[in-house]
Amino acid sequence: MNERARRVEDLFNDAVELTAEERPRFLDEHCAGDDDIRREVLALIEAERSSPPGFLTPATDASRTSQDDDPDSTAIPEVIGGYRVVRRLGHGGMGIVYEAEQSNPRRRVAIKVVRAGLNSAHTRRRFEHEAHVLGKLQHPGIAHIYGAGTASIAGVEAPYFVMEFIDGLPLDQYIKRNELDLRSRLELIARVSDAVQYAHQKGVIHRDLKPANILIMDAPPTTGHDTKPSDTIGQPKVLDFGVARLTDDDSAAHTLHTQPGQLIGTLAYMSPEQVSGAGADIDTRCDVYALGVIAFEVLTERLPLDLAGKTVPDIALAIRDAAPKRAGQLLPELRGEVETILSKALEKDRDQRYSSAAELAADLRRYLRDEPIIARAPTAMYQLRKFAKRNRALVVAGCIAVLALVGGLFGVSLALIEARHQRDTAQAAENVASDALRDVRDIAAFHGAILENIDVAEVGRAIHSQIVDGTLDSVASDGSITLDHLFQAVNPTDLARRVLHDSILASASNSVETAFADRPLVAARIRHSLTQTYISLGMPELAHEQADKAYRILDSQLGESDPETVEALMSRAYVLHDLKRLDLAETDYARALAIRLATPGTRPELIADARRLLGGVIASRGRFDEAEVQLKQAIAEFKAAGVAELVTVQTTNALADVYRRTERPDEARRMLAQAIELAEELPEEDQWLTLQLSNNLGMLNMQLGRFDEAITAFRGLLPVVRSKYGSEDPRAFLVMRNLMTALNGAGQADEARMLATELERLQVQFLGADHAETQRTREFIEQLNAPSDP
Amino acid sequence: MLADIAITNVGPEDMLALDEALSTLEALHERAHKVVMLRFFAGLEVEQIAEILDITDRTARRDWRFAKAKLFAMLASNSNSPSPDDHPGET
Repeated sequence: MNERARRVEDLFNDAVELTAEERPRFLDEHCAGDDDIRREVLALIEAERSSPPGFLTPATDASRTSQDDDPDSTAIPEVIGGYRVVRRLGHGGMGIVYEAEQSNPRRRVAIKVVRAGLNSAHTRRRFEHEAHVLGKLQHPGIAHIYGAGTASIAGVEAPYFVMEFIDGLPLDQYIKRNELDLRSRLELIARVSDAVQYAHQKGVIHRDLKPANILIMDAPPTTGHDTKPSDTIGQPKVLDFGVARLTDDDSAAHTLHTQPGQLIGTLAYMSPEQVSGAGADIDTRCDVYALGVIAFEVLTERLPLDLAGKTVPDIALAIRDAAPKRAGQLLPELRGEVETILSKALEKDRDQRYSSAAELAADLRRYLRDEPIIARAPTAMYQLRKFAKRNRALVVAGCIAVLALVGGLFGVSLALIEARHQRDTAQAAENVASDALRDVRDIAAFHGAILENIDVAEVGRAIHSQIVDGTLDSVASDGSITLDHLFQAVNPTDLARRVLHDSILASASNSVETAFADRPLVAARIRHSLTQTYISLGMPELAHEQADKAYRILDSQLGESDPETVEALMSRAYVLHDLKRLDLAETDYARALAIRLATPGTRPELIADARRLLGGVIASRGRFDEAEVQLKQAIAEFKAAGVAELVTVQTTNALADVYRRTERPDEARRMLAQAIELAEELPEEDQWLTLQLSNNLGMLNMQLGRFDEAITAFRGLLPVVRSKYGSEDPRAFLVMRNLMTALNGAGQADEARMLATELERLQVQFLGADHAETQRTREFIEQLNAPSDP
Repeated sequence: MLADIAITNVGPEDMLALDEALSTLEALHERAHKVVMLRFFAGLEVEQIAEILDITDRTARRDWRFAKAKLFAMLASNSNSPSPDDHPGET
């Protein structure tokens, strides 16, 4: 506390009680030549004299004691600027409002006497100009301002303006009293938005929209007064348009005459750009935000942000940063489109909001007419983007996975539908078509719902807690936190996987049965599709769970020899192979192959496909002779069928691998060369296989001690892989590792070391420091360094 | 009805100006600031405030009067750049 302030306080409190005559002597005596203090005390006395009565007076006092305290309360002027005053309606922020009568035209008006002292010719001109502009606002939804002027009231020259008298209730009270249903509430908001739009077109921003500033006509217009056809019960009227600006120059003080609780009542409708002090940069979209808050409140009876009990700066922070509540969580009937509309109006970034009140109104009406609204879930995408901007490195892996996920879900299920369509060709064509269409539509809708229901905030929290857990683990060991720690402690790929599973896929999996209770086949197909998704995410355990369920459903619904059941069995086998549960994988593949062989009319390439995969598992189990037999036969079958070059190439590659592992390098080289030749005929989208084959050939050359050939192969491969998959892709890492191994083998240790160092850096960043591959690279570097330091 | 609402005309930006002024007051005279918070924001009576802050009724009343005048002076001068008078230096 400040001693000087105390002294000023004492002098002020004493001096203010004195008469104007006594004061100078008192101050001379007590200020003892301190002119600063004297000036300050005088300024305070002047401030108290010029402050509006009731300045900072709590509401309870205002209503109870206004008769005694407020000198204005008893002194109602009889006439203001030619209007006969009927009664005082109230006093508040900017001044006192009277009900008055105009004689020509004969009508009831409301007169607001502004407390702002128009202490310069400039401000006075401005006031008159603004009043003139506001007077031009003529819309059934806006309280009309008839005129403005200055009048001498109680000896003080005060500006006033005259406006339409409205017999109505504030929006919120009106809705409660009339128990309006959802549709009527929405229609009312749309009509308010119309009025706001009109004013915007005239270049006037309200800046202080709130339910209290919106009156709904509650009484039929009185005859004999200035009635308009539009003035019917239920017509909304927006008050005080542009008034917040009217007396800008005259300081905030005049508008601060308010009551507790109304502070929040006003701030709650303020847009983020307003609380950010953007000042001059305010545009019409701040009113769109306020309309969003009002709509939210009118529909849910709550504010979109929790502001109760917060201080003003905290409120401003919340408005800027806190995510609004979701209307659908407060009131289930608002779920979906209404919630989407509200979210769009309440976007923090005004560029993401409805660009005008008209757009908001149009969307509300579209909803009411059951037409598709324009506001869309891009909101969620946008929030993801914003999140990504802040956490770029962490999100890279996640984005790749999301794309794989979305592509996987749709691609696979459509392929399945097609498969089913083919199977059913025996049925009447129309039936199949409409059935398939229904399934496509329903599955698409299901996918849509899953994606729509992604709770971005929840995803964010999940990511955050994963990061925190990961970081805490690493911090425990050495006690400090740095950004590097964070990246080292949390492997973004794992993080993305886990979050995708927890936030999206698990819920899809859990709701499949309920969503398609009457159509187990569709449920099975979605499970099949989830299997593919988990495979592409590299989560084989979860893929297995889905594959197993899909297979069981299809088995019981269609029988074990149905082509679709066999397809599901093949998927399960594939996952089992991935999980290194080789015996089970072999059993499944063998069974699939047997069924395909035993089913008349099975296409030969399907038989060959089962055979080559079976051969692959057998090779993995180390039974190379058997594998060779199966793979060779598969190749022959593919060739006989004359289709599916891709699998032929893959099978040839597998056979080459068998040769390589059975120490038959020349045969392996011949096979690979054959495969590469075949692969060059493949369409563009399958060319990745050529890359894989070139890599394998390089490996083989390395194994044979032909390091220069291997180096040439890997050097040629690396830029291709990088441009195709990106430098941080594991496939690029693989080629780098192979190249550095070959370099080392060829005795080019320095180049090998440089490459290894670069690889380690990339792996630490994208896989994590503890990742097995990263450690492998580190060991490689250590080995390189070892000979020079024996 | 109109009386209930047409009179509440608090510009949002003004709330921030008030908040700023309150911060200045708090730095200047912490007790007077407390009195404002309890009186205006919590709606307590002067007597209750005196009891809470353990000061006499008279002191509470004088603090309140001083605070109101001080706040108004700050807001009226210029909410963005208060005059030097509003920031008497520490002595």
